Amino acid sequence: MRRPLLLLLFLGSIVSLLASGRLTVRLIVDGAISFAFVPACCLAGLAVVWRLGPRATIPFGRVADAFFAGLTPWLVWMVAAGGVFGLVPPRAFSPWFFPVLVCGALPLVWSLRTDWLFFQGILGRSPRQALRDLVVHRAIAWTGGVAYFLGIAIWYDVLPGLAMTLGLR
Amino acid sequence: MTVGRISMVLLVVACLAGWIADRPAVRAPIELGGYRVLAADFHIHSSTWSDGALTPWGLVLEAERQGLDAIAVTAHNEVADAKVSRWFSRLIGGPTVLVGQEILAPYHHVIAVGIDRVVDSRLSVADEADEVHRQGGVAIAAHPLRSFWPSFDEAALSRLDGAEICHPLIHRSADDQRTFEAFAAQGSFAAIGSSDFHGLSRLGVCRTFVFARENSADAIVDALRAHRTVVYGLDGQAYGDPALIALAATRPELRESATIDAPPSAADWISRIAGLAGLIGLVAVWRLRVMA
Repeated sequence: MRRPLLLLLFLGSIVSLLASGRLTVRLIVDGAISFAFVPACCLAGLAVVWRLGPRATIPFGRVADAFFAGLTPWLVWMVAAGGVFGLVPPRAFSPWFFPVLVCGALPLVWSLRTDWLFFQGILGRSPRQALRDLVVHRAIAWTGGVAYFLGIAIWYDVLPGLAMTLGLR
Repeated sequence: MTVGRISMVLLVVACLAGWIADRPAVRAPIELGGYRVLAADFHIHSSTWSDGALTPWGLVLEAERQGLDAIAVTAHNEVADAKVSRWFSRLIGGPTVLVGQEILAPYHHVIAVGIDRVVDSRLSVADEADEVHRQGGVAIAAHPLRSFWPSFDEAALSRLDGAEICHPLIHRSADDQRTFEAFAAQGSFAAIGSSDFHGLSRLGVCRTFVFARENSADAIVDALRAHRTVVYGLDGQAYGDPALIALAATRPELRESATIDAPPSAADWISRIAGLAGLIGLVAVWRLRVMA
């Protein structure tokens, strides 16, 4: 389970760069606490998927470590975001925000393929079962993560904003 | 040395340089016209149920570093994390923390500052403002973009105490600055500058200078009610009470701290470069292990 902990270090470091333009232990720890829900939700989803099929002989800790290795695309994106927002002066952030956000679609799609292959290769699922695992994992990990992070803003801010953007209001 | 170890060493170097650059600046209190001038940010979010990136106590420490004398922690329809921030700040002798809430309704956002309990977001803006006043606080229109205007009817406009006129959105588009100016022209409001800090950008990147009798929550709320504020928007344009704007002009550092990004120090640059290099190294190790 080294990689989930390394992911926390990573998340904390990016928060530190984004919030202050420098790396400090104070902000790394704070960011790691704030975003601890990310590995937690990921592990929760994986635990459910792990129990869905015939129990693999590999212990869950090692499975989890291997699963987190598939987060490389997200790490690349986070470092890029940390680079942009760590180096650009705060009052010049705005033009960069949407391009960086849109680039997040790349790891989103890339990680689907990585995880689908992971469920086949490590958990020994068929391509169809791996697809089911992928859906179950995303449903648990992403729903949980988004619900925790955005909270009530989903209903009062994100969805109305989306409706307005789509011309539904 | 392996790539992993080099990466870790770089991260340690980055943290050491960051620690040197991170010390809070010592600032002498500013007094003008018999008032204490306080740098405040009245719209910030924590990471507990409010899509921020820093914990309630982390916000307090960061506010100190960004030279803020007062903050209002304004979670979405919640006040618990603001109370945690206030408790922590009192414990360490940090900035004055006011309990706040971003009253989040589908088509209007209102900042409540100086309250004690959650304000029901299903009310109209006018009723929300009345409830905020009953609790001894002030109600501020948050980033009043045109799409929110229909919710701010005459009754609402007559009850609001303040309106955000400087918000990070103005750095994206000068049109937003004009929209906020147009909104403020519809009533008599305290000019407010807020960062709407969620973790990106900096706390206090837009800030309000409050002319208060003293640095306390009650004195700050009194000053907001009396519209004793000065805010600097795009190109250093000042908003607020004309007499106070004239007073503030005698201290150019106020405008500078609100409109100019402080140049990064050498320690900042070392921290950034070493930190990014360390993180890239970690990704490489991560990737190599995948390939293995």
